[in-house]
Amino acid sequence: MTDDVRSGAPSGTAEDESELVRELRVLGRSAVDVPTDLERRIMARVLEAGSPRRSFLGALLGRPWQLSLATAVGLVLVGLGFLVGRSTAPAPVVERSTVAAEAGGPRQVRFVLARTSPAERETRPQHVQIAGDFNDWGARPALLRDEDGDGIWTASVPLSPGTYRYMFVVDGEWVTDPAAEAYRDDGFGNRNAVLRVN
Amino acid sequence: MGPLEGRWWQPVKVAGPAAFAQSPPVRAEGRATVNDRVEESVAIELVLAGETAAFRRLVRAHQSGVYGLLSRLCGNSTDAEELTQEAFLKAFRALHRYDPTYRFSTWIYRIALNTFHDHAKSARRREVPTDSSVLAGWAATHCPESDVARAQRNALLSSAIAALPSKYREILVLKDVEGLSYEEIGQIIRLPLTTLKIRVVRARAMLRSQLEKGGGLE
Repeated sequence: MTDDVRSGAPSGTAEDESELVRELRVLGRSAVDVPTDLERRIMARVLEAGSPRRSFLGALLGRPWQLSLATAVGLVLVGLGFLVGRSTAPAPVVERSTVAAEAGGPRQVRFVLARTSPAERETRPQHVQIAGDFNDWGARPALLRDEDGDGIWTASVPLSPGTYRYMFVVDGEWVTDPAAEAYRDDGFGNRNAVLRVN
Repeated sequence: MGPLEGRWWQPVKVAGPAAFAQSPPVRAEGRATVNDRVEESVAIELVLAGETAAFRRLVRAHQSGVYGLLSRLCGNSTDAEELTQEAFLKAFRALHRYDPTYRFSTWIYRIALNTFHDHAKSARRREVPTDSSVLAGWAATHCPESDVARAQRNALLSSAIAALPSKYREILVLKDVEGLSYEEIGQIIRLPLTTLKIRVVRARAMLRSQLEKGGGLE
């Protein structure tokens, strides 16, 4: 490893100490303005892609210790459902994406709550709201909608850059966003989801 | 505290000690701490366990480096933005193949470089550098110093770099602009050390020649 070079310390050769190399280092240290919404666009494509593209078999054979309990339970349920010949179609694979902000002004943040498991779809809620710092915890209600009935509830909320805590309220029951980017204890034994808008 | 605070208590498997045995990663101006690497490893495991949103942690940590590298290779922000997105998408899809004995930054740089290669090979995307006016604008807007002379000098350097053949441009950007070590460059480009060193010397000579032709060498 040539950390002396990486750190910019003189390496002892005339070449590395040359003015040209020094200038290139200066160029390298000059900040590159990353587009403000680059992260959002990357994540939008990632969320659209779904899960990392390892095959099912590869997941089992390649790194079996990474099969999470939730995944294992899900596989068992799917298997049972198949065996008993349930008439309901498999729930669509939906990424529980949380936000997608548009560039410019207050960011239009799209909240998504996916309730697509068979159990969740059997008990379709009447009202899904979002409550958080930004609307005085529901004082100004923000309703999520699922117009096509596929179990994907969405709402767009204009938010200025900052960090916000929020929860979903499903028929009066507080539900933590399972796909939040971070969580924080609410002091009452539950966790609030945390959203950072850049 | 990182954006994933509160998740560190989850009983997820993290990469083994080998993942932390190496020296801090690549960006000279933004060296990652051990905590950063732990957060990174946890984020990777969360993603592989199905928590796709945790990939955001990796994007935040590396988008600046990847975008900066691609900006300097492409010479324009439009292509750099598109290729940065593609590089991260490829990384996400191939995350199960990531070897934690290497730094993630090295791995994503390699993906970014391969993405750039594909881009350069594609039709209508010859290795003709972006014109200097674009680069001048790029440097003027991206240079942290408000000093116009410095911005102009950076634009001149960027223009000269962009005029180099691809393989010399890459090595020069990685070695002298990004400040990577030869070991790290070897992991990205996968060439013997001697070849890398010879290529760096040639790239510098070619750059010097470019600047002299343009009257830019002081």
